[in-house]
Amino acid sequence: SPGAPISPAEPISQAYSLALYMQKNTSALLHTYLQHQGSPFSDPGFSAPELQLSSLPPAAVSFKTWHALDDGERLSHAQGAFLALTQHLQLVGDDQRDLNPGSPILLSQLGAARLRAQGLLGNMAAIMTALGLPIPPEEDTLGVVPFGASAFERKCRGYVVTREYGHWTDRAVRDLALLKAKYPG
Amino acid sequence: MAAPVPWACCAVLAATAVVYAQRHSPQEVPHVQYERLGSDVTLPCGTANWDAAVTWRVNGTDLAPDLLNGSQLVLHGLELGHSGLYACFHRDSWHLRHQVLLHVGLPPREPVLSCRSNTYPKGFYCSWHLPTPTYIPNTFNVTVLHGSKIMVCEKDPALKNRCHIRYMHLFSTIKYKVSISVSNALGHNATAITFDEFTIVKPDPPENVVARPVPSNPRRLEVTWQTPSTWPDPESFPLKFFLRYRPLILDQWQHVELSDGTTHTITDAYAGKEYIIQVAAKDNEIGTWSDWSVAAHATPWTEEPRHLTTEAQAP
Repeated sequence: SPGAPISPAEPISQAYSLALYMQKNTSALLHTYLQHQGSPFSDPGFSAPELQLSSLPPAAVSFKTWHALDDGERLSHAQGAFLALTQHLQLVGDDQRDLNPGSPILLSQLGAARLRAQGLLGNMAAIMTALGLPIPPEEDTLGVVPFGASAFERKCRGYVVTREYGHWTDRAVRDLALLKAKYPG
Repeated sequence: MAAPVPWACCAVLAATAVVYAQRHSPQEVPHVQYERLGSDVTLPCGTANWDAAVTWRVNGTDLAPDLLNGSQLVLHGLELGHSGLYACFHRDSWHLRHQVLLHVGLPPREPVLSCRSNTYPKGFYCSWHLPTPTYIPNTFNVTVLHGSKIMVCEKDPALKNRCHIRYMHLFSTIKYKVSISVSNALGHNATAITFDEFTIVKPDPPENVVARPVPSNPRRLEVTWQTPSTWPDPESFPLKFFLRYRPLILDQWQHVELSDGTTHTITDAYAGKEYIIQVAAKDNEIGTWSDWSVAAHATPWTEEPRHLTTEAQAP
């Protein structure tokens, strides 16, 4: 009903529960992904933390910066990230269907991750509405995708996406815990 | 020393020079020497000839001549007790010819290095020690890498085997690599550890744990505590708590995990029994539990007056 203030506590609580649930699966997703790509990705202890995608905002942030964000900024960063993640997960799914066609487990994990990210986007939109914040319009984050990318480049970008998905989920859990404490039900 | 007469004046000058050199020679400043425990060492008497007549003393005490090989002092199987100031003297004139300050020790074994954050996300500290003593001075050098970036580890003002790293980088998994090398006069050693920042998080225990009886409630105890003062931001990085309690007369603990708040009421205490209560803390998401807090003691409320008995009360 227009005019009646909506309490943000309920959508915050839902988003927080979803983010917590997502967090339980993020390292399994990264691990499964890497195992399917062959060497060097599947080598034990593989890690290339400085590898980034320019189309995907990195979750890493300094404590000072993160701490100083207001509710609107916090949510809009998360919104932007998960929007980009849903689109990138779609791309990675397509790449892997090509590179690893006989891997239903990997493909279903990627699909589930994308659906959950979409769910979290919906929850965050509800929080922003309740707080009277504008919801940023959905935009195309992938831009011009180089479809001529080599198998190695595709594997790299899938690694960055599944890794950042985990980092952004960790960050979302912290952000939502902060909001939960701020707007108790 | 005998010299042909035509050379007498030069011989006298030379002898004077030698005497002068002996009295004021650099050998009077002890030569510092480090030797390995268990090894054998031969100490020459400075520049004296092998067949020179000398006496050796250690810390002012004469040494038996059977330790000598000519003018050199031979020590077998060095022990820590061999450390000291060794001096050799010209036997007849008692002029000091040479001094050696001998230190017996060991090269360092691989150091033990560990890092911990009780101040997440503001930073962490690393501590180190040697598993066995070297008995001689050691210098340590610590380097910290975050990915490929070198970070400064600031020395602890009070503890000499600890340094602090400030980090404020969240939500990434660029690992830290902390390396330490240790050197002394007899050798050197090194080790390194690599870790993610969130794996080393361990808060300090909760503070000011207080347990009070609840009036008119013979089975309750109210427990309160505070988040550790070293934890920089409990609002953004909330802690969860673990409470354990037992009556003093029993060994078995009861446990309660609490996801928020800093109070808890125990409702199943045995009436009239003194309880011991402790609390531990952990970040909600990452790291490990703190050590247990200092224990609080309390006995639930009992009706007055009462005769204390030793029979167990019915729960």
